[in-house]
Amino acid sequence: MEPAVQLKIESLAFPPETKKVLKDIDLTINQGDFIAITGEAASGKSMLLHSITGAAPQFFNGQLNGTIKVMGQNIHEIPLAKMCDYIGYMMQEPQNQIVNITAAEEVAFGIANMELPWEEIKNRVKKTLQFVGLEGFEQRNTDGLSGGQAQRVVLASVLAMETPILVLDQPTAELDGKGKQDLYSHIAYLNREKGVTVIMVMDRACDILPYTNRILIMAEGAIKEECSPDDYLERLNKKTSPAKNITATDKKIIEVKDLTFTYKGDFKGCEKIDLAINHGDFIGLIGLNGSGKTTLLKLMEGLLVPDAGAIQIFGKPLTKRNFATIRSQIGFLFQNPDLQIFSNTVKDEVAFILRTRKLPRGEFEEKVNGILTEVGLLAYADIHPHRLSRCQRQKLAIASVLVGDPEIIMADEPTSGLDEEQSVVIMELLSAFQQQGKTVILVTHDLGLAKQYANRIVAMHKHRLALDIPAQEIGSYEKTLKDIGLDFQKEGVDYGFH
Amino acid sequence: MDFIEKIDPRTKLVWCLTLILTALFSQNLILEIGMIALVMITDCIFSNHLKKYKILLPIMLLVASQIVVIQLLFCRDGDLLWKWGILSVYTGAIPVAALGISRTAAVTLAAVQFMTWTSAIDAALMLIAWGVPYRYAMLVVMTKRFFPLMQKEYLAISESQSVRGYPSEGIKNRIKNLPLTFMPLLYRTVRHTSDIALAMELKGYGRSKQRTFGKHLHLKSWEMISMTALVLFFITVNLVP
Repeated sequence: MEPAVQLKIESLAFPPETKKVLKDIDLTINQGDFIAITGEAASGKSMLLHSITGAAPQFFNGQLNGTIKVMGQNIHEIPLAKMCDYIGYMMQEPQNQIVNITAAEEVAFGIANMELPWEEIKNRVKKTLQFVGLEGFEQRNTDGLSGGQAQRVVLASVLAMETPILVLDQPTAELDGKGKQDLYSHIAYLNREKGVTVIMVMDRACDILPYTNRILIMAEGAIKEECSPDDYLERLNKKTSPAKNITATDKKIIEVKDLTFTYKGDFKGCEKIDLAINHGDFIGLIGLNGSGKTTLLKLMEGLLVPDAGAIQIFGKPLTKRNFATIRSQIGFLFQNPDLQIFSNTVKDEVAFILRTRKLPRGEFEEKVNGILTEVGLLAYADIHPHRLSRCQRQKLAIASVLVGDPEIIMADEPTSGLDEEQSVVIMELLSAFQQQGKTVILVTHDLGLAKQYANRIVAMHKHRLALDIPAQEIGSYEKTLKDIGLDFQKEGVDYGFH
Repeated sequence: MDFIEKIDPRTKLVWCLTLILTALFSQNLILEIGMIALVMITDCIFSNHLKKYKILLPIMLLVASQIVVIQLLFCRDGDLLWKWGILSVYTGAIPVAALGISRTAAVTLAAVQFMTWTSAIDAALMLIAWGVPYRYAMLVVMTKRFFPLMQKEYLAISESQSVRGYPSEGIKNRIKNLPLTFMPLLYRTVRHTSDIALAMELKGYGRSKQRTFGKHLHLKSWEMISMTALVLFFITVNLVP
């Protein structure tokens, strides 16, 4: 049988840049393979997918030395718009790939371009939306979809084309544990039953180990290693580190009472939340997509104004008058670091808070350098932040928050899109902050990380607080967690690592 | 709204153009007010909500006040009403200002009505029916999708600046923060554009001259009659001396 994809790449570069983004790659992917590609940020994983789909060098004009064949045909012979006969490609950031107004139109987009009859298109749209768990979403406005739903819609639009090869770049980055597991099993079904070749870049390859037959580990634009799922799992388990020992004080730093918030259009955000957070707590705030975690965080930060209830921070009620003062003692980390980076150099970005406080330059220079050294970015002080890798940008976001000496850090999924090792780097930075007697509130989908680093686990379900327990007792609440869709055992591979 | 959705966008366009052109050609205040009333009444009957005009109201009041000020300052028709220094107000300013305001209102409301009554895909199909290649006609759909996305991005960037000590509440602060917000927004926009173009091409966009659409435009006989009636109305009211 003809290989699905054959790559013999000596080098791929984008002049005038001389750096080779891909090099020395000799890879044959057979039909029916399920391949997971992993590796550190900026190691060339996404570029490898771009080259398989022909996007590089056809869309991103690059210089390719070597040959890339898809189903026996050189990619230079296949126009990009005809690549959908062979490959369905889903990139990162789903909202960037949605073109249409409704979910059904979006799913139909690719197949309509293939000029299939409308009846066939309608059937495929219905079938695929059902397959990805979005039955009844046909007329939903794509603008109002949550991150997880948008990811499913984009995946559905790719699956609807029924291509023999699926190329997926972090297809579950925005999904919660349950959503991830559902999607992996769906894709595994296509691979097993329909013989679809799957090539998937994963931030955490351990999530899909049960379904893959080959793992590729990339570094510096090359395939550093290829191993079996068993070998990879064994290696990950060796890195297991014990849970952190955290003792918080009894002094309340945040107190939330009867907090309720409803979004425009009558969408519930939070409902009757009662929560007290102590000085020195490391809270792991967990829950399914749309359970209200981010809303709660934004309410506590003053970014949203509650419909009912009260919030006290540092013993003072959070009001419009004092939230600027209170905010100066809180650091907020967004899920996407790109949204909070707006300066021209790394150094300026870190100095931003100090400048808003109108400190003289001489005073904050030393502080900025100190923080950059702490997070390992001093060598990059003068370059543009967007030239950094995702992990480095996340570190930069943390540095720009730490420099303001906050008492509390609220972090909204700061490890999303990062691999296991990078996640640990970010978590260690937050942990070091907490070890200074400060407070961390971490929103995460990763129960393993929450268990390892937090002293308290707070679970949300359907906009309400479902559980508030010490992290070391999480094992005893397996059933309760399962009832709210956070299945401990189902995600066993993940927890094996952590 | 169901009924409106079923109407061919070309019929809606002729309706809208008739209202706009009548408002532009007419010198009759009552006819102008009639055009405004027509938009409001048809909206009440078919879409059953006038909420969308709430956003327009402050902008229209601002424009109206400008028209009034300009006419009061510069109109020299009619009798002198009031004089203070170099400022002279004549009686002719009031009807001219009223005509200007009602004309602007009629044109704006008719255009807004067309935009809210016509879906992006219908507008694209209308362009395709006129021979515009679908690659370009579909830009209408993409534009409609792109604006709310950029608005969301802008809000997210504002929020992130706000949590780092930059006040972003209120129009004054937002204007002040524009230079800071602009760069990340521009960066994100460029990335969006590139990602979306690649995603579309890899989904076969432009692979052939045709593509399948779920809807086909078809002018019904009553729509043809209505369009003819609208054209006749326009000619009678505006062009027949």
